[in-house]
Amino acid sequence: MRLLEVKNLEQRFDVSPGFLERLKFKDGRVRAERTIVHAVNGVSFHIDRGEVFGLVGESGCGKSTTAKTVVKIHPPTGGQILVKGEDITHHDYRRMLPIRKKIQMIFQDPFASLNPRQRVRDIIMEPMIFSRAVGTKGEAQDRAMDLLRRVGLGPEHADRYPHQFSGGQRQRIGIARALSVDPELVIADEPISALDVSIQAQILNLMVDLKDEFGFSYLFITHNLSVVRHISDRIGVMYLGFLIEVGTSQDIFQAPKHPYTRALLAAAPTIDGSRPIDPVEIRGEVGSTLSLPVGCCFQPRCPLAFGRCTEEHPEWVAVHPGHQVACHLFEPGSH
Amino acid sequence: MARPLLAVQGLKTHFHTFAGVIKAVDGVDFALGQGEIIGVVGESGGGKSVLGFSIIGLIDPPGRLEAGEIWFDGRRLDNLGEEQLRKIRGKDITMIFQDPMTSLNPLYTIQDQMEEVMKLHDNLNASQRRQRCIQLLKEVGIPEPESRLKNYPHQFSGGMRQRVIIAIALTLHPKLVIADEPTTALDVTIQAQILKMMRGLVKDHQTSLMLITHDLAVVAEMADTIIVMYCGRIVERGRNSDIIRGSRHPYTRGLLASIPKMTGHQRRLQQIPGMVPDVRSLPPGCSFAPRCEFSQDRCRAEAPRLIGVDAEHDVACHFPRER
Repeated sequence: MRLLEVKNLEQRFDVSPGFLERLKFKDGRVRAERTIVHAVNGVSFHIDRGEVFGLVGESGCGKSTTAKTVVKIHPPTGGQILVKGEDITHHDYRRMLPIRKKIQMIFQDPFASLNPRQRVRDIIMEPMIFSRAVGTKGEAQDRAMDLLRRVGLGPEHADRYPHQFSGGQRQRIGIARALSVDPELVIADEPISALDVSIQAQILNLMVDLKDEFGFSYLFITHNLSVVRHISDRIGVMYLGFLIEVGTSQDIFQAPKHPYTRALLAAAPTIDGSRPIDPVEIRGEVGSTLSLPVGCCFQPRCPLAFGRCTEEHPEWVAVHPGHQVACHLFEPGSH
Repeated sequence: MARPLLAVQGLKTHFHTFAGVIKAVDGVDFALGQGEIIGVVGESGGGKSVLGFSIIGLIDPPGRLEAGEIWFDGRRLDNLGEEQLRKIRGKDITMIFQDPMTSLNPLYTIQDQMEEVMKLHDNLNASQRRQRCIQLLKEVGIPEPESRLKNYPHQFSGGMRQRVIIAIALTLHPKLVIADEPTTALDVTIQAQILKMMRGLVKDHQTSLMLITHDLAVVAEMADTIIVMYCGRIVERGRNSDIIRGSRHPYTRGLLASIPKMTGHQRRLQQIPGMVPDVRSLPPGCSFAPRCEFSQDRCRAEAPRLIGVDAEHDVACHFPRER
């Protein structure tokens, strides 16, 4: 059974202004049109136990919204979310509580994600006490101390406040808090992009070690290609709210198929000057999720686009089992 | 190298705060030739931005240039008055800042902002200025420049704004452009476009570029020479290949090793232990010694000087690593 399965997830936000501002005269009639952000459009993927699934894409591509929708911080507007086979799409607050214990998050900004008025001890204990994961407060204390040690801090840090720590140390506290309720899935949303280069490696190593030790899974969200390659077993590439390619880390980096994936890999600067095979150079900028392009989402920037791309939305094509791409170029029968 | 365009000698920029003296830049020497790209890398707090600001004379109290000389195109800059510096800024030396969202004025059209430097330093008439604006926007790759001139910054995306800022920086064909993290706020596909464009423009016009960034990969792809800074000092300086492939300083090596590679597989990344020390209370001796796995007693007692280990390759380390 899959730990997490997401089917056709859809997230739309209505950002329309007030009714009077929306009134427009169009085609001989007065209309009140809505403004909809199509943040996530039919995203499907799954995560197995002990696996690291990386979501990669540029800012605004919907990777963070996907994560937040999975834990229902934003209730999904379409699709299905299954956690260990249990459909949680329509769970209310109360029924979500045991699910939230299984899925924890680590956030990007270690300066904003810790309550500045709580001691480190209380920050780590709060999820345990809230979800009744421990019997007594003493038990929670012991576990908090143990977690502090495991993330590379000491008991002497327990009574300090977040402002007394550096960015890297705060991220360690955030990790300890996420692990306090023994989650099965940890969603890490750009956990290292706010940190200095030398600290990034420390936190990445820590995250890998903890995963090996506790055996949970990661949904790892980042815009950094070398990081996603390093940590992920499987990777999904997103563009404009669509998932456009899914495969193992090796599939995506050794044999990328989608023109956008190839462009993304070609654009990333590298230390060793290595260039990916089959690079694609793109021009222009990411479109708007307010009005999605007709046909393929990437078609306006794609140098390889042809007639069909502007007409129909591409379906998933399996390049080989486990490696799927949403691109007309790979459909059987197309050149 | 013939006479360099920019030569910085023994530069010290200190900030006198109530909490103590912050030695943001503490004895930096380097030279930059015409048409050359120099990359300044290091982590936050390394002093790389303050170095850039010091050159262009944008250090405000409590900051002060304590010592050193800055020579630009045969003139000494560090003792010039504000009046004279203003004649150089925007004309001979321009600066590109990190945040494309805040470095343009939201209340003026981009034409107004682009023409400002021309009005200050050049005597073109209105239609010539407009033509120059259009030509510049074309050069930096903004489609339909004629129709965008009257637009306001909020009508541009981040990448497009950074292009406008680069256009402004290049308006009067400056001799030196200082770019402080010019692509850090941008997406990777946009970053690639902007870097490629900057490199092309710099090489076409024989402009010198000082590229300040924390991203070693960007520097590896762009720079001719590289300076690595740590706690206000240069720890290593050399040609691109000297630093990227033949680095001798443990800090540079640690930084390079801590970046996940795009080829091959590593289970664990090499990491530099600890963190950057507080600049107000730097350790005696080498600032990197507390984090350095090769440090010895001498490192903790005596600060290493920048010493040549090869032609144009200098390292500030008592025990430089073998190649």
